[in-house]
Amino acid sequence: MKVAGWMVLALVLVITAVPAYPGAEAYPTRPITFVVGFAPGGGADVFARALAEAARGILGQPLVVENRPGAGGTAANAYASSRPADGYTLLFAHAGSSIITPIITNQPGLKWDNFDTIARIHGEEEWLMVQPDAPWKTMEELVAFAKANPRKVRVAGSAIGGIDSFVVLSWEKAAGIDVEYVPHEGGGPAGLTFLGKNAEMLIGNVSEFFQHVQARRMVPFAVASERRSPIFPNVPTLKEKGYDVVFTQWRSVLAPSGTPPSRIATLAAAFERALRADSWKRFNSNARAVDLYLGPADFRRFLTAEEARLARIIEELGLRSR
Amino acid sequence: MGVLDQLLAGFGQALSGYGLLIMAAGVAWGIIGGAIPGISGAVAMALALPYTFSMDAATALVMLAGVWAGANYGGSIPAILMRMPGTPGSAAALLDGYELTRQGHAAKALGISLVCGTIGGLISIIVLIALVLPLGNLVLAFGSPEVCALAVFGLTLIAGLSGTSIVKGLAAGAFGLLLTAVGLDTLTGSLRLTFGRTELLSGIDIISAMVGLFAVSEMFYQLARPARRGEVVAGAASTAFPTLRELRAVWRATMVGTVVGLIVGIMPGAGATASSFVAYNEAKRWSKHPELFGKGSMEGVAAPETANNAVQGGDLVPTLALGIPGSNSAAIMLAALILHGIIPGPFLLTQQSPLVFTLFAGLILVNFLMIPVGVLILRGCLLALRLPPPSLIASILAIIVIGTYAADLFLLNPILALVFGVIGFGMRLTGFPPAATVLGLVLGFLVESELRRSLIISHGSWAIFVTRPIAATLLALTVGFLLYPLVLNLWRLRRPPRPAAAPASGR
Repeated sequence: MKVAGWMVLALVLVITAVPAYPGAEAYPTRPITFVVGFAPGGGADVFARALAEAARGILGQPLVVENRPGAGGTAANAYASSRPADGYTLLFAHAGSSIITPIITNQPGLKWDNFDTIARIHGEEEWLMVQPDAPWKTMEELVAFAKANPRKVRVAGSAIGGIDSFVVLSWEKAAGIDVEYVPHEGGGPAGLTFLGKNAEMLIGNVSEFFQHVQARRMVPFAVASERRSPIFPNVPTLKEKGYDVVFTQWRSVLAPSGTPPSRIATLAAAFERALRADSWKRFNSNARAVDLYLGPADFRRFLTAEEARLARIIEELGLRSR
Repeated sequence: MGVLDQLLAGFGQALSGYGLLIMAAGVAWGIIGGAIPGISGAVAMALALPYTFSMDAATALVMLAGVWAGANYGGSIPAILMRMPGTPGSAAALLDGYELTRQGHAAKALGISLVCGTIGGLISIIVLIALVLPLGNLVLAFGSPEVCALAVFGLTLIAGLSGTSIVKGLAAGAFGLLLTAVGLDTLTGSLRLTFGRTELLSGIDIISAMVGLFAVSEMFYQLARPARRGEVVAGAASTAFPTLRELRAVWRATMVGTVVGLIVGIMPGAGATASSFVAYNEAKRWSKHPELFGKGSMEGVAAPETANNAVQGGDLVPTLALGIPGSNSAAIMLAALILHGIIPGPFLLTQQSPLVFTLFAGLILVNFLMIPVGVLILRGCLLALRLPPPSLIASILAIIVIGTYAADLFLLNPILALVFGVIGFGMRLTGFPPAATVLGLVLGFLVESELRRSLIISHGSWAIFVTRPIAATLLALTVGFLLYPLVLNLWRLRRPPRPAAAPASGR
């Protein structure tokens, strides 16, 4: 009896100890912490939760969202980088939290290159919209008007230092015009200013305002994407109008630096598959977002180029603190 | 189907036994969450959100409505009992609420806050239902200049909070305004006064500062004067809830609070905190006993608490009619609506009416549930007053440290609360009103960002504040109310010498 008891105990120990061997690739065997740098319920948080839900079915373990809001999203970066790089901590990241804020606030240690790249997930397109009674029918007319009347055209958007403001600034430079940028605390308040006819134009994502477009209270005028958007295929890109202005609000997943490559590969493959899950597809199309999947290596190359480009604009705007 | 028929159908949906139970649970969780500093209404709702995923849409929406209404109310329990605002929106209620507790009338103050808050919430929801479509466009009449003018109007309360020295009041208010400049400038993205601290990027945490200025300073105050500590506990504290007669006496303040809450709620960017302070000031202006304000006036509890809850209906107007949330709590409600397939916006009522009316019915029902659930929780909270003072003070400080830390998990926040406790203590000893600092802290952000944005919209012209009727009216009222006492005094000074100069000089 006693011997049998010991044998059972030994067996239990062996079985439970197996996953602890680094060579044995049973991963993931426990829930993964998904760190989100924004308060629960905000835009980024809602996307992170939908993504976590879609990935759970594929990884076989839940992704538990942990909100670490504050400091423009970088509080979450600091927290995630302090956790073990064992594949059980992931960080939800976008341009603001992983490139722009770390540069502006001089915190290079919190920038994306201190993390391992897993995948770029999706993005929202940047739309320039005009009032339904706008006097300009084409981009050429608008640019001609803006040239003749500097600072007359007001463009409502989110805070300076966000992608919205970068689109407008780059467009101004490319077109040789000078518009009045009206910054807000977020896309919603900017939309209110525009709907209240306190601005001639609006820059932002279409998801928040889709119904207003359908109700003809906002008219999409141009999109800052590489190609025309499937959402409004009749609306031209800034690029085809001769202005090389391409920005999207991409969202992605990073992990603490030093995460085992085999686990990164597992995760990247899982997220790629998650984007084909029905729940994610429905969510993504409801949000009028577009899939922008890039694997670990491609995403790293993309980020290198994106950082160089954004850093240049930040320098031009004089945003970096000294 | 008319609005009433649809609403009745909505009640049918919301009124199942299970639905009521879930709603009551939502209200209870909201009250408890709201009472803990660091768990705001939005956080309480966000924490409840995952549990609604498995519910059907109607149950999910009425439960969140319950959490929202509960949290709006819950913050005032510790504000009134312990001078510790659980949410920023409850800060105005402690000005008189805590005075009442010190006088042994804690239960009355809490009862007034519960009943009046419920009335305010109920009226605002009914107005919302009746007017959601026409009001949708009204939201757009309130642009940056209007919100800026409202915030300036709110700042006139400094005069009322100043006590003996208006100069000290202005200095304390200016200190509050200055504190809001800390952090990443939300308009230009540049850093201000952060001293290299990452935690300060999003500014000084408002609840940490409030709790420090009000509650921690009060703890220091009591510890410094042990002889008077009996007052707080008021061992003989009456547990009598307000009588009908007392409720009738605060009727006027309740109506003022409702109107202010509705209007401020509709204004984008303003919100519960601004509305409660404006309502406090207006109630004082319209009261028959303004001299009691600050010394334990029941009206001083009723008005801000009504306004704080009446904001809910106003908040929902832009959320439902335009799909643009008016506050963080409304943003969570918006997320829940979208999750369950309702797309708020211009087509809301024409496309998906049944569920929207279930939400309306739920919002009405939770206000009725507030009273029984609230009374149950209040009875428990009143027991805290029986604790011996050292235990009570220690527990309050522990709640403050944990609550302020839990909000963002920044160790800096509890430290800020303690630092502001020392500052508040010093201010009280030297006659500077900490409440004026809190007012500056609450309104400073609105004043600054809306002023700057107005001037961008107007291409730099200050005329925008005069040419827009709503902004001009609010600013004219501000100037009028500020000058009125001055003019009155001048008039009184000038008048006596003419008919009766002799008695005046004889004194």
